Amino acid sequence: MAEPTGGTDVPAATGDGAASKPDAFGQPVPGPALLEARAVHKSYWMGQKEIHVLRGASFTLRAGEMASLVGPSGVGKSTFLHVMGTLDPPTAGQVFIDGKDAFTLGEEELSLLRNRSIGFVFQFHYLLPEFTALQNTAMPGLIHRLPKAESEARARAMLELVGLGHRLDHKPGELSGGEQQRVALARALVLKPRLLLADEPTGNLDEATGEGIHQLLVELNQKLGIAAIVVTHNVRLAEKMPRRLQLKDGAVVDAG
Amino acid sequence: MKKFSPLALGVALLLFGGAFGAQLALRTWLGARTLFSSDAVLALSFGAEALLFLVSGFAISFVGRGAAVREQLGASLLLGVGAFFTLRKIKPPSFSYDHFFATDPELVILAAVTCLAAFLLGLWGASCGLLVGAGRHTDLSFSYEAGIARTHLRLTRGTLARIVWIGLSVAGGFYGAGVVGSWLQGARDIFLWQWALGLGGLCSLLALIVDRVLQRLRDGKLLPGQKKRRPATVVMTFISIAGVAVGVTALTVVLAVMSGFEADLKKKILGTNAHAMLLKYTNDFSEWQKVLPQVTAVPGVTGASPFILNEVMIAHKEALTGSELKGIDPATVGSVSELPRQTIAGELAWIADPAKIPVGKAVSPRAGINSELAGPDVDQYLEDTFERRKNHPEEGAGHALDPDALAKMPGICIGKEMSHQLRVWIGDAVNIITPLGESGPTGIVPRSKTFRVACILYSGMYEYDMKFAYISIAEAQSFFRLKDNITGLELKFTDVDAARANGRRIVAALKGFPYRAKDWSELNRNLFSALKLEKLAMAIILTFIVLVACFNILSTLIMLVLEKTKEISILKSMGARDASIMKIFVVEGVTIGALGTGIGLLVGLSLCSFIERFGLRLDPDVYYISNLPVTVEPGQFGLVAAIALCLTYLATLYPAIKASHLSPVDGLREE
Repeated sequence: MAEPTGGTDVPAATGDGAASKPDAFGQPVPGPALLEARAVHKSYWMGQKEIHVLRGASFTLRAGEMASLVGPSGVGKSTFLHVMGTLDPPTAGQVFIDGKDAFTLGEEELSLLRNRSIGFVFQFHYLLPEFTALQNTAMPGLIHRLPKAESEARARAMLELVGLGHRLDHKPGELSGGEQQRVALARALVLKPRLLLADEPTGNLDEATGEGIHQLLVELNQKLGIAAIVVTHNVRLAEKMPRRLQLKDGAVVDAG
Repeated sequence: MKKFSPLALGVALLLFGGAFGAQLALRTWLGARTLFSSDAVLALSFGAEALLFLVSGFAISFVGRGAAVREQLGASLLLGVGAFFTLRKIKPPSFSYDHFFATDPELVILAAVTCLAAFLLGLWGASCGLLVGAGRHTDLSFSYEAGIARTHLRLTRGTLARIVWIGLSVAGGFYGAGVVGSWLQGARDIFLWQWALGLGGLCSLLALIVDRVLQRLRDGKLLPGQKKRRPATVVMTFISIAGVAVGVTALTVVLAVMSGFEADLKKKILGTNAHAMLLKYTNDFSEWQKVLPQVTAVPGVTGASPFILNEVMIAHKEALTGSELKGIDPATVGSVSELPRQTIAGELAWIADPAKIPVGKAVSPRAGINSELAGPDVDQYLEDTFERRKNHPEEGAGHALDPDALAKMPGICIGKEMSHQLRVWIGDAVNIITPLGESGPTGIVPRSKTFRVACILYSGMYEYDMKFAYISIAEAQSFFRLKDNITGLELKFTDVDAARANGRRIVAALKGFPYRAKDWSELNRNLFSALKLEKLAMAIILTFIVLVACFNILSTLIMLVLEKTKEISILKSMGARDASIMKIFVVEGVTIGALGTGIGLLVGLSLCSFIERFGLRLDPDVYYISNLPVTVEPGQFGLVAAIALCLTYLATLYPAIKASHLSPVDGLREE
């Protein structure tokens, strides 16, 4: 397990030096464990009925590692991602991020963790509709209390990286679905987190656009060394990932 | 659920207890060591207690790492019990006149109020603590939270300018109506800037209405799909702002009118009475000539005049009335009251120089009294007195006395209402009868003496004009057989409101007993305390309007929170802290409140100016005052603003805390 690289200063682009070094096949060599789930259970109450979504899901994701997660609808992929991303506490079990038991942290440390170490991309872009692409992307920086100029500079750089340098001042409503999703991706990555959790980022995009987003994800993983879990329905896209996970009967299994 | 923190309970108990103790100590100290009135002492000590409760709550939120509701509740309940037993030991004075010390039920109420105040104010303070992060990592920045709040309220520069424009137009409209109205009523002392401001306001209001109508027309031509749709929350925001503005306007205007009445009453009372009186516990004040220079030497004293006060009966022919007969020194009385300037006919100085009172000729009333006299029907009065005397000069003397005897009679000044009651005019003879007579063969024989009316006074207070009669001090001394004695000295100070303190200073300069001072508010305590109570009651009732407006804010914010659940989740997934989410909604509520308060104050001010200029007529027979009086007190406006802002802040807390406690997945699960 990696030593927690604490501190609130602006993150190193990579978790550990070794993580981003590409191997002979151009894939980054996974570093030490970044995210670890230990026997995570999650259940919901629907009236009187308890629905067990996760039943002892355990797995480990190393720094810089990229994995796809597939599974039929309603199997609990989003729930799994929410629990991994510290948004939703598990009914039982633990989630370690950088060696820290995330759900024992206080509200402030948890917020800091989400702000600095985790980036989310949701199926629906979930951009703030009243803000421009630039302002949306700068938001994590502002939440981190970076000066406005610096947040925006980082946001601009990240938007250029995802190919939206010409769309800075457009509001989400004025962007296409693929562009919106790319803004969401830029927002998730603007503070260079070590972990990206993407929940069907291409779910409601046409195939070509979806392919483009996926390509972008892979590129960013290679460039920035960000570990990622990408939930997808698209088996073809999932196949391209270095690691393929499957959610089955409330547990995570490596699909090879 | 957080764990119950005994440490927070202990700290809360300590701090609340300290605040309560500080209140008791401060009250005792202020009462014993300062010259503040009892109301001021109460206000200061309870204000300090409230402030300490607030600060305590703030501190507790840091110790308890959160609002620490249960801990604060426990501590305030214990405080309530403690306060009951402490107060029972101390025995505070009762509220009612039936008991001297507070009874047990009263103490229970006091303790309960203390308990409730500690809890609520503590929570209030704790909410401020929550806002800045409650101890873990204090974060005073409001940067992006304010930005998000602005977008929620759709508060772009344009909208803000529009809201300010609406507020200014309404206020300007009232001001303009006042200016134009007073001009139409004949006022010509209107400055150019006042014209400019008033007409500008009216034009702005007109432009606003025209703009609205044009907008409507344009909207009418649009197809349904082209019309701009506003979210319900934006409409509710505007309604909330308007609600606060209306409440604040009502509160300020009513308080200004009440202050106007109070100021009017004060002016009238201080026109007839001095600011204070120097009296003696004994009946002998013959050394007053020696005391006088000592009194005038005290700093802050601008005038002193001797007086004698006694109750008598005054008769003219068949008409009879009871009166407070006051012996005054016409030469110096002008330095302590407005009496010489209250004459509507004759001269006050004639009471010391009765030979000057004309014989056999009706003295005309001073020019212009018709417009000045706002009292009951002036024409009727003059017809009953002045005109009648002009036409029937023989009635005035009462007895057939020769002109020489009349000319030698001492002079008396009476109030206008008394002169109406007795049907007398200047030069008429009246009989003063005092029951303090000599004992004769058939028992006590009342003493009486005939005086001639030297002047008629109008103070504006019906009671004063009906009751008071003035003779020269030398006459009074001889009539009441007082030799050199007087009742006391009337005093006037540079600062009316420091009358009590100045009175005590004078008594101190005279080495205390047997001298004592009574100030004007003490002399008219019932009147002013009734007025104050009325004002307080009005303020409380009208605060409810603001309170209702705050419920408006509350529901608007709850709707906003519901509308923005998804957004809150997204912000939280990006790492926004609970305190940040809370800040967003507090900023929204306080912005609504501040805009509403600002507009309300402005409109209230202009409405006051309208009432003052346009002069809402009152029935002078009923109110003894012709126009609705208005006094704008800046302190009062500030207080109203503070109350409104505090209430709006409180209204934001529930939605803001609810929003901050939303789980990040609450808004993500939908869709």
